[in-house]
Amino acid sequence: MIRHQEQIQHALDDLRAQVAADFLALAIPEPDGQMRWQYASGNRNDRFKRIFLRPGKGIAGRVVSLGRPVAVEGMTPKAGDDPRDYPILLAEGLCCAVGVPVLRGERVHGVLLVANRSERIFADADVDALLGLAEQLGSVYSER
Amino acid sequence: MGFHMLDETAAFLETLFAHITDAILIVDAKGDVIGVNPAFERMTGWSGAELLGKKSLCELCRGMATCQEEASCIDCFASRLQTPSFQMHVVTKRGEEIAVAASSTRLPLEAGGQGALAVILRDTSDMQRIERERHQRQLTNYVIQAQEEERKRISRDLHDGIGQALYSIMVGLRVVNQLQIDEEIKHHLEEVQQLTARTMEEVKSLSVELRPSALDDLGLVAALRSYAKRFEQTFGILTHIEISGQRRRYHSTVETALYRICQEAMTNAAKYADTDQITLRFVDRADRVELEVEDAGIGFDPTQLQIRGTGLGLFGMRERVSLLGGTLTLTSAPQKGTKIHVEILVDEKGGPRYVHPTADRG
Ligand SMILES: Nc1ncnc2c1ncn2[C@@H]1O[C@H](COP(=O)(O)OP(=O)(O)OP(=O)(O)O)[C@@H](O)[C@H]1O
Ligand SMILES: [Mg+2]
Repeated sequence: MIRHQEQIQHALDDLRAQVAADFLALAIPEPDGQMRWQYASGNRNDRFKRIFLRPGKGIAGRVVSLGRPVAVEGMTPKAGDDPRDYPILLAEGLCCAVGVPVLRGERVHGVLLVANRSERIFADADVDALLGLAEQLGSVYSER
Repeated sequence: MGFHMLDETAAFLETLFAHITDAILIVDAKGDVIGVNPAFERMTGWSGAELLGKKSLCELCRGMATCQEEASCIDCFASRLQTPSFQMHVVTKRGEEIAVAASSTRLPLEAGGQGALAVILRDTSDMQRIERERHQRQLTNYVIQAQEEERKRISRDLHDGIGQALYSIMVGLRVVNQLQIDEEIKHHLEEVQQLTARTMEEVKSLSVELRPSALDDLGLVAALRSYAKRFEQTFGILTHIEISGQRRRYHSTVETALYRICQEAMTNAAKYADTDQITLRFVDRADRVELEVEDAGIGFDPTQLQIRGTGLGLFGMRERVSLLGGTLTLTSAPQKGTKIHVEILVDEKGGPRYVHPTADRG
């Protein structure tokens, strides 16, 4: 059973090893309701901790508003695009990612993200493993 | 004029014809070339010997510019007694077509005029280039101003219109929730209240991101500070702000330009620099304002920009600066980070000291 912070961290580390991904992170709301990346595994600096997730923006924003997994592939900054659409990818130098919702009852409570710095298409098995952890986390948050 | 002897007059006119900077082309009533001056030879590359009696007007002229067409033969100047000012397309010996300013006069038949047509040409390509550039500037300036005005308007509408309405909804919900109602309904209402509060925040941040009202109400420094804070929260990049000198308000064109430049430079840093720190420096001197955005990121080779064919950000920054008669210096090298330095000379009132003539001061 996952309950304490260290356990959540461990679960993230384990899953990252299992799917051999560069980066894994969990965004959940702070007490004031502001979504932040509160846990990460494989991060290269602390930028992710300072990011305030904007409703509807970026991968996480889309996962929350759509309530289903969202994938991004081959992302590199290009002329004309707005970097506010992918701050976590910029912070960690990531190009491919899949985000899945962490449900609390019927509502999306948080977002679990797996990502890579080099080109990779996450296989169904990887996404299933991610969804598995999201479900476990969801039941933890639902109990509270 | 006091020419008494015919010889002297002829000699004078001959000298005038040979030395005048305007090109002169003379064709007879049939249209065959019967005279060109040295200026015409220089302009077109043809020599008199290659033209006289050998070429006709229509072999040298590609038509005149009208408001509909670049070059047209409709209403040809040769068919009129006088055409004081028009643009003519001349074919040079090398086969190029050049646009020149022209005037033409049909000489009388009598008094030795023989009904010939005299065409005087002047190369105005430099003037035209300057004119084109001026026009381009004007257009850029207009686009920048229009975009800024539009952003201001939408930002205000969002804030004052939708923002206010959402606020009223929230107050209403709170009132309803204080009534004696079912716990379950109360719970639902709370969720709606939260949703409304979040939507209100979103609308507010949309409005601020379009154009912060702080820029008009509190000034550039305050607007930059809150932009930097939002930037830090958006990208997780620490932003150090160094401000020195007196703190004046500047003319709104100056404040807006500096704000937008800073925004673009910081956005570029977030996008490309791969850094976790940015420094923003702002210096207010008696006669100038300076703004500097520096990151310690991966940098790039600025000489490679044209080749890569990139976006509009740097171009827009330069354009904004030059409209205010300022200078922009970009310093960057791979692995050495990037620095954008902007300097604008201002007068005592905080207005730009040198304004591009086409720039609107209002
Ligand atoms: N701070 C920076 N660090 C590294 N590279 C930079 C930085 N600023 C600019 N560049 C490089 O300069 C190029 C041109 O920047 P510019 O702002 O003109 O275009 P863009 O950001 O790609 O597109 P746009 O601004 O239109 O969205 C960028 O593509 C990038 O390669
Ligand atoms: Mg840019």
